[in-house]
Amino acid sequence: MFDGRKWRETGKEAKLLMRSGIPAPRSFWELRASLLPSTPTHQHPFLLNFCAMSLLAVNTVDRLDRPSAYFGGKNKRRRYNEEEEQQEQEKAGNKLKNATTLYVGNLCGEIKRLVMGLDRFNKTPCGFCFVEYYTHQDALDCLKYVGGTKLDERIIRTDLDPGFEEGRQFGRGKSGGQVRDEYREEYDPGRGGYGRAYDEQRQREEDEYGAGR
Amino acid sequence: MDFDPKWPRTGKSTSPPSNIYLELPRKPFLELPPHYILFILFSTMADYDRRNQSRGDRGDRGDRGGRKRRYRDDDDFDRRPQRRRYEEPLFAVVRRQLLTIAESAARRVEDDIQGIAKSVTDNYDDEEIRRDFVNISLDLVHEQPMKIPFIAGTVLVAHSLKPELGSEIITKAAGALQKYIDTGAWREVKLLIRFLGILQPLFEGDGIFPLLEELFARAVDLQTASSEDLLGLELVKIIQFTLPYVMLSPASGFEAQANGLLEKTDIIATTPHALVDLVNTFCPEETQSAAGQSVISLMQSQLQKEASNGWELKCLPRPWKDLRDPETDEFKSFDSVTKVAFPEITVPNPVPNGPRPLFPEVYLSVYADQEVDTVPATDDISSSLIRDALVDTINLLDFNRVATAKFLIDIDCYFTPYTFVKRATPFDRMRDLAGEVQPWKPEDVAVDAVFSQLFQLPTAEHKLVYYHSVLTECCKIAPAAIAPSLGRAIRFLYNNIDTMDLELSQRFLDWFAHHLSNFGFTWKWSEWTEDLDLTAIHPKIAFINGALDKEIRLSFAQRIKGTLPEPYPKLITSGKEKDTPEFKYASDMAPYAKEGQELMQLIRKKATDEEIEPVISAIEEQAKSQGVEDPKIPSTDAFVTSICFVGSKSLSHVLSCIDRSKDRLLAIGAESKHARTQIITSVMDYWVDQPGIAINIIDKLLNYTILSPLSVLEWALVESVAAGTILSKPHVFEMISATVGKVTNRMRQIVAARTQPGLYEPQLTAIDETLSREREDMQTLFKYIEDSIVSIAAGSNDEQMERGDGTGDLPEDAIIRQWGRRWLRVFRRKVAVEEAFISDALTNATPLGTEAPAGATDGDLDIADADADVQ
Repeated sequence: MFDGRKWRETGKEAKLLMRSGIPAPRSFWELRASLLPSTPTHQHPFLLNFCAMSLLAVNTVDRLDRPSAYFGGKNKRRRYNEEEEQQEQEKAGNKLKNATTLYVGNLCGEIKRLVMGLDRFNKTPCGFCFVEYYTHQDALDCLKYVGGTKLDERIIRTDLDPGFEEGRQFGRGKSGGQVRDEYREEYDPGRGGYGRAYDEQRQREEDEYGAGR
Repeated sequence: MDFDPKWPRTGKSTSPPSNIYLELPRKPFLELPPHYILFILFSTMADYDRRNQSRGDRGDRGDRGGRKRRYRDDDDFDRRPQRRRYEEPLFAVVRRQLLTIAESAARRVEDDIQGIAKSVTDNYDDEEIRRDFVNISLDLVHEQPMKIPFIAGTVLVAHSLKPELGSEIITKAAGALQKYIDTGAWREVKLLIRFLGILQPLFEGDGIFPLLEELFARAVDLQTASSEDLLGLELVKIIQFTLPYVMLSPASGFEAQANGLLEKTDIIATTPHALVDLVNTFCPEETQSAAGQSVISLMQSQLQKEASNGWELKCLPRPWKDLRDPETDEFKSFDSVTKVAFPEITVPNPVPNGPRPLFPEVYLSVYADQEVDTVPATDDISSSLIRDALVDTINLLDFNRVATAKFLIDIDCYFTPYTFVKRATPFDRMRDLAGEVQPWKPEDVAVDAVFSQLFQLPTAEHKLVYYHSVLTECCKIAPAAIAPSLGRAIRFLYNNIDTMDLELSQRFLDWFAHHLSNFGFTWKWSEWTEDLDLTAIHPKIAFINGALDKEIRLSFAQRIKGTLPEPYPKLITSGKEKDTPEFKYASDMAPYAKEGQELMQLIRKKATDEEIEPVISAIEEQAKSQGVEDPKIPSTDAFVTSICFVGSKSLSHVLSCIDRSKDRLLAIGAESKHARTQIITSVMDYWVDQPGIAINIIDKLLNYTILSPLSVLEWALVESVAAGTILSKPHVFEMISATVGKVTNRMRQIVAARTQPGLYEPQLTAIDETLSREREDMQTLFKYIEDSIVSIAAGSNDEQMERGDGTGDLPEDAIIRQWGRRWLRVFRRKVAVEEAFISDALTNATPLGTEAPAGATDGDLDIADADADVQ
């Protein structure tokens, strides 16, 4: 019913797809470029030091410029030794300390380099991309200011990333796209209806129901 | 009937079991399955562990770890009520109460203050509680300035119960204050002094006044030394914004001292600084009425008014005022408490310049000229006090825009009750409410503060997108309340767009488009329909067109077209709706069509330079035979247009095309000045309908040094100047600003390299030479802009003279001259700011000729690194 391939072929759905901004990669880059003004005065190194100086060791409200659990948890085996775990996290933290690449889910932006995320099988954009900035501060600022805002009707998810490596541009989901797209419970016409894993399950349930009758 | 314990979570039954309202006999604790008892034990232990392990770690407030449902299969009864038996430890309660102090309108803050003070003093021996109290209080002073009166109130009460605790926190605050004074972190100094100012009744003698007097003495020294001094003004500002809080405190009898200090600051505060006109939101030369006053001169007159009113300070909360002693039920007095000496603070002479560049600040309100006042008037001290607290909150909390937005929305919790009308009161209702007591609209006051920062000149403290995101977040939290306030702000800014500083009208444009993109691109365009009849170069038309272009950049043309009422859709031409602009050589009628197509195919095929060369030569031969003066122009046009067409798919595509052709492009630029500007012309022509993409590509060409900054200026301000009308195009301003920004940014990196400590000969001389050379280049660039635009502003540009009847009296001529004046103002300011930055930075640089002390290693950062940063 909402098989990915079929959906791509029907004209009406394809239009929706475009509206969501997934396919034509071009509609991405000027977006970000225009959002993050290139006026560089605020990058003045002294200013950064100043910010660092006045930061407290712990803040009275949570910070939005911290990497999510994704990176730390990526290679994580179950650990019973807490100390070991903490060290692991610190290592991850160090790797991200100077990270200039931002993992951007859903939609994204420009600056030094941009790698579009592609469906593993169809080689079509599947809604995420890597945005590499010239400075770590820019990446952090994007995380703080742009993550969670809407761009062309889609909420942009952003996360710090240790850096693009060949192969990472492809979706890791079973059907080729993003993993999160497999398990999406809500219906999103711009992204092919329901999550594909759920879709399969729905399909199976429907078939079984039919067979039982 | 069986009771289904899982109801309603099973989702199978839609109607509740009939006995739901009956109290079930509770299972005694010991009847629980044994694993559950263990579970409870473990979870408490986990909390205990966490408590020991993460002291002071307040990032970890949520219920995490140990609390997850572990026995998924075991669902035969509902465990939830039992879980609540775990009692929150006292330190956690105090922490939470302190962190959320004054945040809830449903609780009396006085109760919280007394509660916290009592818990802490009763448990004075618990080191953890005590340390938490001291640290969190000071952290809040640093990060959430609106809470300072409440924190100080808590400390006042705590001190009256346990003077040792008061002394401890004062000592700690003094330590931090000393550190900030020594490093020149003036905002932190201001906040800590404010906190200590409210603690005035605890101090012996004159308390905080000697420190304020000393700061003033430093300000006088600085002002006497130089009329351009800004640090002295900052010190005066600190004094000004401390006085109200000292007078607010329960201490009495300090009027004479306050008034004395106020008399002294008068002369410094009211003498206008030379730079104040340059950082004004509105061009003073275009409009006298709208131009704002400097923050300190405004504050000075407000303070004087307040002094003559017996320091009423209506808007500031005095949470210590209604405190009753819980035992005697008498009003608390702070006079009798054990006094402590004001901590020893040394103010270095001269005081250090902080790392943040200082500029005069101008008071801006986007709600200034409404028929009904929704924000405090500029003669009311509340305008400055509330603004100051909000602005610091906004700038300090840039790491969590959601928290910032929440504080802005909750603004009415942090000031005296009845300072504001009820949240979300419509503007029309404000008219009826206007009477003897004038409460303000909280949303307007909050939004006003964000705009004041978004429109801060010469630069905002954070990236502009931060302020965008704060407004977006506010809108998300309270759409019905905030959106109309934004609407009125937009109207005010739009109506004054022709006299607004050009850089700020550009920021307005960026924000407007970005903001709409977050809310479905809906705007009441119909109210500007009449303006569409204005001449094409009118600032309002420029704004409308610029906004639509930006919207398209944030979405796509057809979608934007769909959001526009008649007659706006016609502004989005069919050209703008094309994803890929047409390739002009595709038409056989076009000159050099065959070669152009061939060239495009070669570039698409990633052909080598040897394959491309013959086609280029063919075009040049043909041009020569037709008598074209510079045959490089048509060949460059074909080459660059082909790159644009092939690269039209994405940024990555165009970048890789440019990268492959960069040697040829670099050679073109080096060979002929006209061919160099032709590169720009070709890019701009190809992307004429989507200028945002064009200037993006120009930006990349500058990075590759295929274009020089000067060539971009030549293209815009001479070749394509079109009698000055080009100055009305927002994207051209954006392009020139970005180009100049690249130059000044590089300059600043070189200055940073030159001023780094531990740098010795011979590197010193090497960097200094680079610095002088680049500084000259920068000056040349600015002079070029100045010279080109001065003539436009004066109406003496050649092309302008040839227009119409040559009298310069066409209605458009006046508008063009105004554009010229506005451009000049922006770039003259940039010159002043950059030159001031360089000379300031160089005063502290190691002098030339300094040799490395024996045994020291060479400075490790050299100019090559600075270059690498720029690339």
